[in-house]
Amino acid sequence: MNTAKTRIKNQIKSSIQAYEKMLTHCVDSIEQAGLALVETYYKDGGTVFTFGNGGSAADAQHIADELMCMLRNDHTYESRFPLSAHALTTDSSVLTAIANDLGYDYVFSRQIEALAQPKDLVIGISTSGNSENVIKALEIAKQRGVKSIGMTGRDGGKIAKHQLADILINIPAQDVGIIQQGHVLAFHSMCDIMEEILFSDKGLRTSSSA
Amino acid sequence: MKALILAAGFGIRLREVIHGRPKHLANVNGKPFLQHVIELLHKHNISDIVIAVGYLSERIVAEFGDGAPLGVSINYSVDDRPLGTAGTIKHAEKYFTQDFLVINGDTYIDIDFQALLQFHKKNQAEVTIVATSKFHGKGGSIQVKGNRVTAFSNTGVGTSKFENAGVYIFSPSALKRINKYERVSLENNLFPKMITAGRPIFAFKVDKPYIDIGTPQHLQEAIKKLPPK
Repeated sequence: MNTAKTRIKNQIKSSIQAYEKMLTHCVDSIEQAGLALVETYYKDGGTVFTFGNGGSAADAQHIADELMCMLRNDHTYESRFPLSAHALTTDSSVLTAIANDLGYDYVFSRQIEALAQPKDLVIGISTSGNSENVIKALEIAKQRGVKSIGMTGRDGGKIAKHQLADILINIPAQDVGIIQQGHVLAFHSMCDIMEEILFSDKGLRTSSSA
Repeated sequence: MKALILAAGFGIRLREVIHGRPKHLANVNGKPFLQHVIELLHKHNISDIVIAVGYLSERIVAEFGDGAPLGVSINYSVDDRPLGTAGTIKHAEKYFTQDFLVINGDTYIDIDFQALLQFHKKNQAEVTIVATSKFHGKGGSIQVKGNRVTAFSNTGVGTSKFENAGVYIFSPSALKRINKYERVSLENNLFPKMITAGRPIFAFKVDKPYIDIGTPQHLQEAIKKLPPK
């Protein structure tokens, strides 16, 4: 019989392998996503809307918190003002009303329809890439000209297949837990480069600035 | 002479009074502050204007468009991220082939800009800085020897008799010292570098105070001092 410690070690090793793969597969897309955050806030003061189910709902809220509060709280930056962000997973009245009256597939798309404008950015999270409510919300964002980031895993599911997101961060892993860890790493990195570009004294060299 | 207005900054200290809008559009006596600056330039026969925009650039472009209603022609140099004052001027470089006026979009000083240009040419300066003896506390102090600038400080007045009023003449050659997309400030990077290299930076001395909208208190003062509706 396997020991608990062996299972834990295997879990850590699998995580390391996934992070290693991210070095080759995800750096470009995470950079693009960070620059999309910069553009959203800098150009016209837009809002970032985030959504997902279960653990991805928690991640959606986590992203909104990094943006509104701050990632670096060590006073690295002289003037890191709050950035507009809203997780679509938190208002139980809205969620239950939409789920009850229209169906669970519409819990995010209905809110995007109500709230998002072309200057905004949406971030949809689905480890399979197949969550119907995330797909519907990305579709409505596209129809309305709202820029989008999709965060997925495995083969990226329908979100990847039908190119429903302008920027796709697909974590090269099969296990849901490890995909979610990859998502956390990805959005921390996105926020990190955004804060560095907008609020540090030195700025940051990026692909788009040669 | 063409002019470049710097209007790309965040306006952190003014956020509490103009929440969510660019500070340069703060309402001063019925019009955006930046419109006062544009009208000042127009009054001095400067009608070919480039506005360097960055933070909330779309709002400023939407406000002034091509400048026709104000009798001027406006082009926009759009920064896609904070570049610092010097980086922003570098980014607008393509619009300028001759000596040009640079003016902070959050400060206002009514001086003879054409005389400033003549002074710059006569001295064969690379940069000329308008230096006022009326301290206002925003621009940083300047040390001069004769008309030549010898040092800058953003920390207190010290022994200096002049403050940077946020208005300059630049020769395009001054921008060769900045790399594209580098984040650089005038006072902390470019000017000290030029002084060390022995490049000619001159001070055009005036005894007028400037008006600025950098803080809520200064904005209130600007409202009292700028032309009414």
